[in-house]
Amino acid sequence: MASHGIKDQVAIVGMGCTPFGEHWNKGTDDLLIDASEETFASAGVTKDDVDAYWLGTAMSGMSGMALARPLQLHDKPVTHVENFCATASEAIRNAAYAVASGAYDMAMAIGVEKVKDSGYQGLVGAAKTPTDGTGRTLTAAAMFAMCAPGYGKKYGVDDEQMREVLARIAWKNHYNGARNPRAQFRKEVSMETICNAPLMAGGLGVYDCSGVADGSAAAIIVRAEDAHKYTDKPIYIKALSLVAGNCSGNADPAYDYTTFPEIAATGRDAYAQAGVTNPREQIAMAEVHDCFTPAELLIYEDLQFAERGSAWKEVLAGTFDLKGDMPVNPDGGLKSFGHPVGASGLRMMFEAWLQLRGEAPEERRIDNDRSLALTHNLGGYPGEMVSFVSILGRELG
Amino acid sequence: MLADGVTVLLFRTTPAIAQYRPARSVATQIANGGALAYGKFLSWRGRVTLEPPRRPEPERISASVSGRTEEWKYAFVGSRDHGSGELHLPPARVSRVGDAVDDMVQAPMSEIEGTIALFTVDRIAFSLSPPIAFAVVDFDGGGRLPVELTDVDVDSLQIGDRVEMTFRKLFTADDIHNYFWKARPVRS
Repeated sequence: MASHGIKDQVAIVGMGCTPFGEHWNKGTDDLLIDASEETFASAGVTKDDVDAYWLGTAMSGMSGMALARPLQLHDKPVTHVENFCATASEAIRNAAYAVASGAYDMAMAIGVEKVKDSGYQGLVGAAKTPTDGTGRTLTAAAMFAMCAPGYGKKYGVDDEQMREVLARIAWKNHYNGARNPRAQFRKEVSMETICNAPLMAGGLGVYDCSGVADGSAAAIIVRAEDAHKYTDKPIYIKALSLVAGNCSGNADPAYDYTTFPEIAATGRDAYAQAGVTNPREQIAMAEVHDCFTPAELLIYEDLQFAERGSAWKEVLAGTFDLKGDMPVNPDGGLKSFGHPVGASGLRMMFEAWLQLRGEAPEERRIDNDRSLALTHNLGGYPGEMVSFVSILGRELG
Repeated sequence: MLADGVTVLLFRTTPAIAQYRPARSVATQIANGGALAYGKFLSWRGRVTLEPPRRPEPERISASVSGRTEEWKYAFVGSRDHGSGELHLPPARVSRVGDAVDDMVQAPMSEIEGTIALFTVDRIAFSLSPPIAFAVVDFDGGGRLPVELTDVDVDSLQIGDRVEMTFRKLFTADDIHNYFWKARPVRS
C-alpha cells in the first residue's frame, strides 16, 4: 500500500482558460471550444494529435460525448469525470496517470461549467437522486460559516478580530483579481465595504462568498521526455493527491470545525510525492479553494503554510499577499473568478502555468526564486469533503 | 383501471394506555413552546405566501426510500456499533470507528437531549420558516447531527445551549408533505 505519485514523469505543454463570468452569449459548447482552441494553440497541436480526453463537468453535461460532439472529435476516447468542486482537478489527475502509464502519448484535460443559466443564487447540485427528505438543506455558505466561530473559540480570536481577518482574505483576493483580465470581478474592494456587506449565512457577508460564473480551462499533457518538442517551458507534474472524505466530521462530536482533515491528508501526501519538506520555503505560490473566507483561513494551516492557531495573525501581517512571503491566490481566486464547478481546478493550474513560466502580467507577477507552485481544490463541506492538491514545477528533479 | 372506494380504520385502546406516560407529555410540549410571530403564523396557515429564495425548491420525497429508512426518518432511531460503542446518525452499516460491518444495535434518539456545538443562520436556503437556524448538535451519550432548529429566537442562541428533538414538517413538494426531526431549545 503506497502513494508513489508520478513525479517528473509527465509535463503540461499547453494551457488555455476562458474569461470567467456571466457568459450570457455563450453556451457550454462555446466555452469548451474556446478553451480547447486556446489550449491546442498554446501547445502547437491539433485535436487529432491528442490521443485521449478527460472532460470534467459536474452539472453541464454527461458522458464523453458532451465534449466529442462540440469539438467533433473522431474516434477518440473521452472520459467524463465528476468529483464535486474538485472535478477539473480530477480530470487532469486521470489524464496525467493515463500518459504516465504509457497508454497514450498525449492527453487533454478540460473542465467546464455553465452555471449562470439556472437563474439561482449560488451553486445548484445536478444530481436528482430520489431521497427520503431527511438530508440537510443548508447552503455551503452556512456550513463554512460555522468554521469562523469554531476557530475563534479554539484560538481566542474574538468576533471583531475574526471579522477583520476574514475581510483581509477577501480584500487580498479582490486586489489580485483586479489585476487579472480573465477574472469576473476586477475591482478592488475596501475593507469597510467587505465588513459592512449584507449577511448571507452566519457571520459571512456577500464578500466572504465566492461568486458564481461560467468558464472553462484545459491542459495538454505529454511524457516529460517529449515535453520540449512542444514548448521550451514545460511545467512538470510533481504531485497529484486526492482524498474523498468519509463524511465523519458531521457525525463525530470530536470534530471541531477548525481543520479539514481531508485537506491536511492531501497536503501530506502531495508533499511526500514531490519531496517537499518545507512548503513555506519551497513553494513560490499557491492557488487554494477560497469558496468562503473561513475556508482559506483553515487551508493555510492544513497545508502547513502556517502553524496551527497562527494563520489569522499571518493574514493580518500580509504573509499571503501578492508581495508577501507566501503569495496565495495571486490570480484572484474563486473570490474574483467565481466558481464554475467543473473548471476551477484547471483555472488554478492556469495561474501556476503563467507564474512558473514568467508569463503572468507584471502587475501580479510573483517575485521569488522558488520553482514550485501548489494548487488546492476542494468539493463539499466542513466535515465531508473531497480534497485535491497538486504540486507543479518548472524544473526536473 | 379506475375504482371508487373507502378505507376505514378503527382504533381501540387497551388497559395498558392508563399506565403509559410519554417522556414528554403534550402539556410539557405546549409549555416548552416559543413565541410565534404573527407573520410566520399566517404563512404557516397559508394565509400569506412568502417570496421563496432564489434557490431550487425541494424535490418530492421518494416513498420507497422513506420506506427503507422508516425508523430513522419517523422515529429518529440511529445505530450504535456493538464493538466500539460509537453512535451513528443516521444509522450506518459500517462503523466509523473500528470498521466493523453489520454489527450495530438500534439506538432510539428521539427522547435524548443534546448540546449545541456550533450554529449558524442561513439566509439563503429554502425553508418554511426562514431564515433557517441550524446547529451541530452533540447528543448526550454520543452521536452528532447537524440539524435545523425550530421554536427558537436566533438572536439569543448560544454555543452550549441545550436542545431536544421534535418532529416537524419540513416542506411540501408535489402535494407530498415531508416530515423529519428538528431540534428546539429545552425550556423546562
